[in-house]
Amino acid sequence: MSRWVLALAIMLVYLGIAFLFGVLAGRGRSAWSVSEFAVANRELGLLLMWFLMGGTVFSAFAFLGGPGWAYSRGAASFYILAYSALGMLPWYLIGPKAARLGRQRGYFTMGDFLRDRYGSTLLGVIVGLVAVLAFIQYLTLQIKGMAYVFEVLTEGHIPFWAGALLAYGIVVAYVSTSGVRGAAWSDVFQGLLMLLVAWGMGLYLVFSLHGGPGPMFQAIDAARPGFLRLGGPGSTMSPMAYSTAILVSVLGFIMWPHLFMKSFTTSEQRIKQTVLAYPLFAIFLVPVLFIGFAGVLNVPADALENPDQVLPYLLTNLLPVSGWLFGLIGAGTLAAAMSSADAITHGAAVELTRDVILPLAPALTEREQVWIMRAAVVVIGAAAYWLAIFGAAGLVQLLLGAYGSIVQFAPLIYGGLYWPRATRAGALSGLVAGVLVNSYFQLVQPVTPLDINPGILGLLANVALFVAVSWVTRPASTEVGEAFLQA
Amino acid sequence: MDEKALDAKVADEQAPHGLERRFAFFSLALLVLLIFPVFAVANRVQPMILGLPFALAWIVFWVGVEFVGVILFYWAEYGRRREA
Repeated sequence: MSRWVLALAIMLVYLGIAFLFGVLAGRGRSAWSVSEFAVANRELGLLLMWFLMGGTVFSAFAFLGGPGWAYSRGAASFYILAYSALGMLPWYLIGPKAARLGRQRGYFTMGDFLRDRYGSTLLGVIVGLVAVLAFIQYLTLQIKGMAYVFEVLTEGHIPFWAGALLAYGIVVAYVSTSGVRGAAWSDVFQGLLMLLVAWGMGLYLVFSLHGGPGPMFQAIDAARPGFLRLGGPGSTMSPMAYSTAILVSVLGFIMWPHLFMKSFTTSEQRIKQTVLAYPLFAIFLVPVLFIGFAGVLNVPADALENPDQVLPYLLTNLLPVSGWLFGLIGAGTLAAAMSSADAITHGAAVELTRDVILPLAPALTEREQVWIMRAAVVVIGAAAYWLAIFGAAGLVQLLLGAYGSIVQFAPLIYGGLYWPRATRAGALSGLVAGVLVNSYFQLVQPVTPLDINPGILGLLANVALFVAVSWVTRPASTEVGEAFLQA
Repeated sequence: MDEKALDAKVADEQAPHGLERRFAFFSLALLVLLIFPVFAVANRVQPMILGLPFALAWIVFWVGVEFVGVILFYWAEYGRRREA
């Protein structure tokens, strides 16, 4: 059997198992309950929660982007470890509060939460729209990752469009049938596979090319002085850019609506247990960076069109030629991309239905809502697929702006929970200002003052307006603000 | 369960505010250790530790501290209670 056929066969076996896990997860559950589809009746256990959160966060980025950063930017890639270790900590405090409020007041999404707190349907709709656009951007990255893996590892026999259609089609199928429970169960399988492959690959590459991490880093430091430090000659990132990038990720991490809404899927104790187990995921990322560092001295910069190709390059040029290896690595990378794509597709469908469609058509029955959520999974899936394969230059800017704007939800959430004086007018003006400032520095003016991350500049404008406008306006009801503070 | 008992149960589930404040402090301390200016003390390659550049070993070490720390917080809150 030729190499690509064996690789393809292994990837297909993987896809079959992931599909079974996802579809079977929803069996015997109520098919027409919004609560089951959106938040699994708030009853997910620890193992499922941990893999659902971990699998979601470690996307195709872990296999393609992470090594790409290490390869091209050196020490700057350490920021990935720092923010993944810290990003989940705020959830220990705000997750249980959100979970209690969600149970008492019946929330399924972040929009539900904000709409109720600030008494503003408009705010919910804005948050829903920004989130859906950001999700589509996130999804196109995952879909491109899946397609790329298929194309490279089958040596071009499976074209770009077909690989994406196959892998992502499976995600859409199990999410639309089994809801969040399908995503969680397939993430357990995908997460385990992805971790095994990452560790195997990272350690194997480091030892076979350099004889261990010590000699590898010594050699890199000797050949590229400054590359393994931040700031100064030879470095690729300033201390300010590094620090503010970590800060914006830590503040923004749990603001991704698909993560925030997981507060409503489980108990307070489970949320704390998930946070507790989470730093381990950051440690798991170390060998992922090794993959990229192993390429620094072995892959000439002009051999790659894009640093994200460093893993496929190492694989096809420097490793023993084996269909088994190709298949396993392909499956691991697909697992990483698909375990993110499922939770995001699910989050986007629920968010669109509850926060954008329901406020415009409040008379929908529960059964109709579930139908719309399932349909939304397919529609959003198709849109993301179409964008990933064919692209659309005008839309890309809009999607990128939304993607970078997620952190701008942070003042609204924290203010809503801890500051009863926060008002609807304050929240709306802060959010709009934050999104505009962030998008300006992200898309129009890429050079920022002092090299500060655009998200932080947006937050400064956001918080200033949020606080100032809240002070000069009156909260619609002090009762709601107090209830949130006490929750 | 009548309403009062339910309220009492909800109150019982909430962490004491002192613990929450200490957790916030702990998180903030970890953040400060991993960004500049404090991170400047670790921003170097030598000495290498377990084959990792010093900066990377520094991050991995504090992630380990984080892991143990969060376990202690969890234990302080739930250790004496039965699994919910």
